[in-house]
Amino acid sequence: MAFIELKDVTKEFNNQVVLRGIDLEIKSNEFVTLLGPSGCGKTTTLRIIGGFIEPTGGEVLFDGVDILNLPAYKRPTNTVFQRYSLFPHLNVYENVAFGLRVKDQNRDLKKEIKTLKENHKKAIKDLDHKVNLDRTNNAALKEEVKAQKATLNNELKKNIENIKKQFISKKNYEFIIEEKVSKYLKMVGLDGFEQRSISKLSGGQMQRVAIARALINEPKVLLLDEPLAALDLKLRQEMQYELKEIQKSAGITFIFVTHDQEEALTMSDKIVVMNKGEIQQVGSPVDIYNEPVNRFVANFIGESNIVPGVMKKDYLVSFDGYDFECIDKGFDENQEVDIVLRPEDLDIVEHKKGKISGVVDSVIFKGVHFEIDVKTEHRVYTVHTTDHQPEGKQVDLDWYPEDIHVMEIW
Amino acid sequence: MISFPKKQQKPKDRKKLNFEFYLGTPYFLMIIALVLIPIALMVLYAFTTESNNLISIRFTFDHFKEFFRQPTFISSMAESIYLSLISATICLIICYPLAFILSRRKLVTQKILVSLITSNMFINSLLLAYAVRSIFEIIGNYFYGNARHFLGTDLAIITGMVYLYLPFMLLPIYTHMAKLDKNLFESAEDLGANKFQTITRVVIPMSISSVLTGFMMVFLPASTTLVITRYLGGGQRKMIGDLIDLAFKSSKFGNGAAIALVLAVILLIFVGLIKKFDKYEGVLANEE
Repeated sequence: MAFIELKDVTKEFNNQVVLRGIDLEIKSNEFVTLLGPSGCGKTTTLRIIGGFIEPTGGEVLFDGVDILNLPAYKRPTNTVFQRYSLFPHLNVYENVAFGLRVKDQNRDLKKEIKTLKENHKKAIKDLDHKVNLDRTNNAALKEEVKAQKATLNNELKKNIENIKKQFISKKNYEFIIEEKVSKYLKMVGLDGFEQRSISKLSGGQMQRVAIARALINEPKVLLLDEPLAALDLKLRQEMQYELKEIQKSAGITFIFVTHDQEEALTMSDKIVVMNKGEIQQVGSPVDIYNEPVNRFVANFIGESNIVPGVMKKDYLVSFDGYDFECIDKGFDENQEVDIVLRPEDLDIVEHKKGKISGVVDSVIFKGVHFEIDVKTEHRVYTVHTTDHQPEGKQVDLDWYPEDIHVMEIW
Repeated sequence: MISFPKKQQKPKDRKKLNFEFYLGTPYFLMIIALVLIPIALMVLYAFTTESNNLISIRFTFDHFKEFFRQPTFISSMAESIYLSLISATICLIICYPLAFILSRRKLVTQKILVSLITSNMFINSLLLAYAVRSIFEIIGNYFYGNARHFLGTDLAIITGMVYLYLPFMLLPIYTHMAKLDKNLFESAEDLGANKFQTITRVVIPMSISSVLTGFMMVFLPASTTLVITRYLGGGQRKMIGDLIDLAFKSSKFGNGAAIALVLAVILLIFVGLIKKFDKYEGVLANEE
C-alpha cells in the first residue's frame, strides 16, 4: 500500500488554479522528486503535504488516514525550507535541538496513564451499574463491589507509579538531547560547530544545519524545498550525494522539490514531472529520460530534437520526408506523433553515408562534448559529439532505430 | 613571495576616516552645544554656591546634603520611579500582544491601526492630560459627588502616563515584529512547536531587545514628567519633576541642578540594568 497518497488535490489562489487534480502515490523509503519549471505548483504540493497550505479540494492520506485536519506541528513530516529559516537567536546546537525541546519527553507515557485512567473509570462505572441494577439491595453484593473497587484503585495507583518511574527527568532529557544533537551534527559533517552562531555560517553549512534540525525529530517523511538552489555547483553535487546517503541510511521517505533536471535525475527513485499544476509523468529517472510521454517532458528533461511525424504502421515512422525504421508500436495507422531524437544519440557521418543530410551550422565547445547544430532541409538538429566538425561542412546524420522515441501528441 | 603594499593602503584609510569625520562635524558641534555644555553647567551649578560673579565661585556639597536630608525629596523620587515603572509595565502588557496581533494583519489594516494608535502623539500633551483629568472629574463627580476624588491617586497618574506614552512603547515593538521573518514561525511549527511554544521560543526571544527599547522610551520620560502631575496630581502628589520645577522657579538653581543630577544617575543605573537583560542584542546587530 502506498505510504502517502494524494487524491485529486486542487488548489486555488484568488480564483487562480494552481493545482488541478494531483493524484500521487508515494511508497515508504522512496526518494521522490517533484520536478518542473517555476510556478508549476510543485512547492504548493509540498506545502500541502507539510500542512502549511490547505488544499481547496481533495485528500491527503498518510498510511490510509486523512491528515488534512492535522496542523503542521502534529504531522509526521519535517521540512527543509528553501531559505533554511534557521533561528537567528539560537546557535547551531540550539537550532538542531529545537525540535526535541518543544517535545514533551514523556508524552507517550502520559498517554499511557491517560488510557489507564479511562479504563479504570469505565470499570468503576460498570461496577456501579451492576449495583444499581440489583433491585434486591443485596448487602453481600455491595460489599463485594466495594472490595473490587478498592483493588481496582490500588492497581491503578501501582500502575501509574510504575509508569511514572519510567519518566525521563529534565536533567536526563538534557543528556539525551546532547547525544542526539551530536549524532546528527556528525551525520551532516558539522561536529565542532555547536556553539557557532547562525550568522557566521556559510550557505552550505546553514543548509546542513537545516537538514540536521529536520532529521532530529525522526520524521517519517522529510520534505525538501529546493534546498540546494543557493549552493555553488561543487557543493551542490557533494550535498546531492550526501542527501542520498542520509536517505538510504536513515530509511526516511524524501520528497524533494527542484527545477533542476540534473539534480532530479541523479538523486531520485521516482520523478514526478509537473507543469501548470498538472502531473505530466511519473516514473524512474531512466523511464522519464528515455520514454518521455509528451513534448513538454522531452523538452524539460535533457535536451532533445522534437520532430513532428506520422506513424505509418508498427515499427515504421515517417518524418522530414523519409520513412524510418523504429521500435515503437501500438499506434493507429497514419497517426500524427512527435518524435524525440536525443542529441547524444545522433551521429555525424560523412556525406551520403547517413539518413538525413545537412550542413554544419554552428559548433560550440561545451567541455565534455561539442554541441553542433546541423541544418537540414526541414529543420536544425542539435548533435552532441566528441568529434569536432568544421562549420559549413556537408555531413549526414545517422542513428539506430532504437534511438527514435515516438510520443503521442497531447 | 608576495609583498603587500601596506604603506599605500594607510593613507587611503585615513582619507576615508577624515571624510567621515567632516561629515559628522555639524553633529559634533550640536552635541557640544546642546548636550555637553548644558550638562557641564548643570554640574557646575550643583556643586557651587550661588554668587553673582564667576570669580567668587565656591565649591560645595550643600545642595546634595539638603536633598538627602529632606525626606520629601527622597520619597518623591521613589514615588516617581515607582509610578513610571508601573506605567511602563502596563504599557508593555498592552502593547506586546497588540504589536504581535497587528503584525499578523493585512498591510493596509496594519497601517490604519498603527496611525490611529499613534495619533495621540500629534496632540499636545497638555491637552491629553487635561482630557484624562476631565474624565476622572466627571466620574468622580457622578459616583462620589466630588470632582477631585480621583485626582492625585495612583490610578489617575498611571492612567495618564499610560495614555500619554503608549505609542512610545508600541512603535519600537511593532516595527520589530513586522520585520520578523514569517518563515521562522512556519519552521517552528514544522519542528513540532504549537502556537504557544512558537511565541515563547521564537517570537519573545527575538523581540526582547525592542521590548527593552520601548520600556526605556516610556520609563524615562514618565519618571521626569511635569504635565501629568500638574493636571492629574491634584496638587497633592509632588513628583520629582515638580520639585525641579519649583527649585528653578524660586531661582534655587543649585538645588534644582542637584536634584536633576541625582535623578539622572539613578535613571542611568536603571538603563544599565535593563540593558543587562538584553542577551539577544546580537540578533539586532546581525540584521544589517
